[in-house]
Amino acid sequence: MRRTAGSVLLAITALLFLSDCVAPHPYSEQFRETPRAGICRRFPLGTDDLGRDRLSRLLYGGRISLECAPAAAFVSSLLALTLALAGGYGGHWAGRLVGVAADLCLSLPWLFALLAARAALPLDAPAGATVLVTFGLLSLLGWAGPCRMLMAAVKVRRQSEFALAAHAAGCSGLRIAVVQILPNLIPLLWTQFLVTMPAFLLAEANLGLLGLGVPEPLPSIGGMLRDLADLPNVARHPLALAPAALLFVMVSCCQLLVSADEYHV
Amino acid sequence: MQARRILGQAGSRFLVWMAVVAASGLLAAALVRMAPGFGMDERLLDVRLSAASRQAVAQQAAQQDNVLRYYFQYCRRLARGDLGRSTSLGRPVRELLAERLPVSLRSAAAGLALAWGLTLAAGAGLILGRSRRGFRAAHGAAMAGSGALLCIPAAVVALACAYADGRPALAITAILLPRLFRYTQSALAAAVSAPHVLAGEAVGLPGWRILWLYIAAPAWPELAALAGVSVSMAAGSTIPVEALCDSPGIGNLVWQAALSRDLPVLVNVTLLITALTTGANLAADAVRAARE
Amino acid sequence: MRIATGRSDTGNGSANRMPGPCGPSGRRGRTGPAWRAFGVLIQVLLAVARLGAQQWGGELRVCLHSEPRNLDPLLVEDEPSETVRYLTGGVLVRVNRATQQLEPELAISWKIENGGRTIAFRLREGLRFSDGTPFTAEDVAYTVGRLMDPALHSPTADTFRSGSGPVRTAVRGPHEIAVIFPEPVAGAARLFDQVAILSHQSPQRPGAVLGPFRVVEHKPGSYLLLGRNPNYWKTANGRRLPYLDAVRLQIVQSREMEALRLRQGQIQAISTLDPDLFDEAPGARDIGPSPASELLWFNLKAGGAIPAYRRTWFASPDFRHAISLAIRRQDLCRVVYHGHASPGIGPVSPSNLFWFNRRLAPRGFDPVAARRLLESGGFRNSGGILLDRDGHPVEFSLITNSGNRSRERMAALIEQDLAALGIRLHIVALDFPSLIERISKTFQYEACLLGTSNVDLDPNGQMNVWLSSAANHQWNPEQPAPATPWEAAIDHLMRQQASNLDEHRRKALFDQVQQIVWDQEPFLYLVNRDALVAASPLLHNIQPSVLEPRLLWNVERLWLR
Repeated sequence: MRRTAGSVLLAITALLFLSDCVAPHPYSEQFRETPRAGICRRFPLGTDDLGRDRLSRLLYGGRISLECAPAAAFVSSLLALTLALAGGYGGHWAGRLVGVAADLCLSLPWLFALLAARAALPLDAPAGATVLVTFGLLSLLGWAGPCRMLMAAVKVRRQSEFALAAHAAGCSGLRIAVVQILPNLIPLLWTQFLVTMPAFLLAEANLGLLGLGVPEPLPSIGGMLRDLADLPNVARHPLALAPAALLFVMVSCCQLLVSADEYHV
Repeated sequence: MQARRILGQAGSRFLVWMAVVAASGLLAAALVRMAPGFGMDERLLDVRLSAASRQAVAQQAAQQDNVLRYYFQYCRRLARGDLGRSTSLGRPVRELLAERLPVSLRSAAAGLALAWGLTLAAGAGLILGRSRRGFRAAHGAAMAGSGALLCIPAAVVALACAYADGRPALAITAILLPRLFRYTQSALAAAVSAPHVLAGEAVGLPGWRILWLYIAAPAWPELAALAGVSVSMAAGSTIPVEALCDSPGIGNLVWQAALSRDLPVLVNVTLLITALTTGANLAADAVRAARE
Repeated sequence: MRIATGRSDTGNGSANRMPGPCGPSGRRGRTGPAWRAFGVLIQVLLAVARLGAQQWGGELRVCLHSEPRNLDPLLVEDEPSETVRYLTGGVLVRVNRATQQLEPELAISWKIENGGRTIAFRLREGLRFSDGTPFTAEDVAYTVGRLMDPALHSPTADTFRSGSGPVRTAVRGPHEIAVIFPEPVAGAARLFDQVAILSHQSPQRPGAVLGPFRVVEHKPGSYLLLGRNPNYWKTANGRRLPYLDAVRLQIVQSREMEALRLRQGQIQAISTLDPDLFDEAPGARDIGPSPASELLWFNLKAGGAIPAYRRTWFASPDFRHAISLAIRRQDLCRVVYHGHASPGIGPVSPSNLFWFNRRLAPRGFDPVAARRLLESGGFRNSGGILLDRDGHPVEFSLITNSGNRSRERMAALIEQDLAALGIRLHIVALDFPSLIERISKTFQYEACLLGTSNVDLDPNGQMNVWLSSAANHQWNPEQPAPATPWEAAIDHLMRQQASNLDEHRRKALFDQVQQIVWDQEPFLYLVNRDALVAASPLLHNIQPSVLEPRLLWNVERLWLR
């Protein structure tokens, strides 16, 4: 099971990174005579509303999204972990401080910070810069929810026998945190990563509604997912589901990779 | 003595809570003020307006230019129970909240309850049946289902719910469920493989007893934290869901307010969400502390 | 004209409207008795023909796309509120949405006096407001007085302010009143299409109305229920109209949801249908070009945050023409609007029967001519990149409002069209407040793609767009003195037509304005959107019009099976 998942994931990643050679057409080329085309030899996944080849867009968009979203999810998981360890091991007040910061982070309208950051960039800034700003801010803001759970887990592990034993043996707090507690948090971290990654892709799609996503004509998984909002259209052109399917396969493979036989002790 | 200590702790927590809520209001006001397009009214593009009317529109926005002054005045009015007036809808915020809050609270609460009910039932079912045949398939199906839900934009979930003539609560459930399910699974998975569970099984204790005493109890703090966080998740997902389902709730109001940079509405709603989020997390912490 | 805010795909959101539709018939002082008799005869014949066919009662359900911002008829500024005002308010004169002619309503006749400074109305007698209070000239005086209160800042009132000095009224009898302007106003009568008369003595003000319906229930964010006005003055077969008992206006923001509701039979009509949804909506109809058009303009504001060399490009009419010639407008219509649009021509849409300058034609796609124009301006192509005289590569950013799929798609098509010339376009979608800030306050943009909607048929409604000193002169607003000779010429022509009472003379002057705009292209008109509507087969007597409120303009005569 794990092997299959691993190879599928590897194959998809390779395909995405080789999109320059694999894609049948440039991602932005418009075949205006054939908008919304179905499957045919020329367009294996049909074309979108502007007649652009969907497969090529999916490959290029997949690459952009799957470079950025996992990176952002990784950063936010790392941030959550660091703060959770600091909060769990740094004493009562540190714990409270982290808790308060997480609460504030969860409840403030950060959308406006994103808007301000985008406005601070010049209008003819390269598309890459916009993408970086959006995913960068997402990664800086996505730590709050998981951090609270990680902190709770740290507190439990702190009271566990192995941590107490290490403490009795004279280990420093930092060493216990890194050597004893951290490995125990990995499953939770993976979950957090797997939940956050698609969430970030979708957040990019929703931010596209405010002009904060990946700008046209660059493709992105999120931008392509926005087409799903027109449900009757999706019923007639089910190929619009392709990006969602790709995302699903990738998330499931990641999931299988870590937890294929978790319960089988 | 004990009572005094507990009272003192509760008092300090309450003070911190108040401070956090107050700070969130000020920060929200600052964020909105900083955002591009603040004070830009769509009426400025109305070609019918004379220069005098345009000036009046511009002046109206200028009153909120200084965030500190605005927030100070807002707090003073808040003490009298006046929440200000929405700039985009031209109505008192108090009225708007009174109309819309019950709708949102109902959907969010129903969505939360349903999502948690399903999550716990699925978690318990999977643990109890983990040695039975067909477990792998069931587990795989549950994971795949939650994975699929994770990969579909909230907007589509909401629209699909609306198309199926469902209520916003169902869409909120569909958004929360995969997240809650995955986190509880990972919290429970660690507990399942603990030696005392194996020992309990070897002794032949009934499954539900092992579940309750040996698995749920150690995972409890994480579940409580998740419960606290799930409130803010619900609050967060209510906004797109209501905006898309055209449910006349707070989410819809906030989305419109954000698009028109309606400072009074946004500050009030932020205060409300912070109070709710921190309140839920405080409650989760208190429950955990009481158990410890 | 309103710059369409277009949060939604169909374009026009709530801002930038010009005063409502106006007929070209401002000159018509009094409806002649012969014409009146003829009209009555036709109506009687039609009524006899339809006798027994209509069904009374029933509730018509339609959607509004946002919460009405203000239900006070004098302060109406957005489209939903305008619809509510149309359905509930009684007005002195009404523009017939089908013929675009002015028709008597609460006033049976009117007369322009005093060289265009005064307009005298003779009112219908024996009418009552919905609460039973009688309708007299005092009510009109009260309404105009309140409307013109300078502290009210009513957009409707601003269209009346022709010069300095107050607008006054003189009550000449219980059913005769004169409205006196400080300066002559061309086409003044049409302005009253937007003024819903309030009762000066009703305790329920502004709930007491003269229109076919009155607001019965308002659940904010959810719906508005309008019930029949028991005292409505129009009749059919001896019974008081409207046929319908009620109109329920459901607040639904999503166009997809609206189309779904129509398919499910929960609503009976859609007045503005999205082209993407046209094929799926039952009973959908394309009723031809609407007053709405999509356009692109370059920022020519002095001191705007643009490099000087780029401003030089934008200021050159040849550069603008080259861009215009390089855009395949037919593709915009076919790909983006599914064929439910036509190439844009100029400031006035062909749907405007009287004022449209028929000598103008859309600019065709001609890349050879575009290249020639650019070469004559010193531009040269080097390795697929267009360079200007000083070697700067030609690239600029185009802002448009985010969330409007049609505009985002148009921008993508234009990007590819210009790439063929070697021009690089950066598309930036901004949310609406950010966009307004850039185009009307900071001027930090290079080119902008937006839509406008000429709700007002009369050119006077476009005054604030064409006068170089006006704030809505988008490409270069609030100029102390006209920056170019052709802008000075437009200023002169617009002022001249506004003070002239002869309609044909005004038309000739405004035709010249349209010609100058076509020649200079400060706005590159891209497409004219078609008016798309959809109605359930259960709804009868509909006569869709390209003017708002498209399907509901004859609401009192609509009936449901």
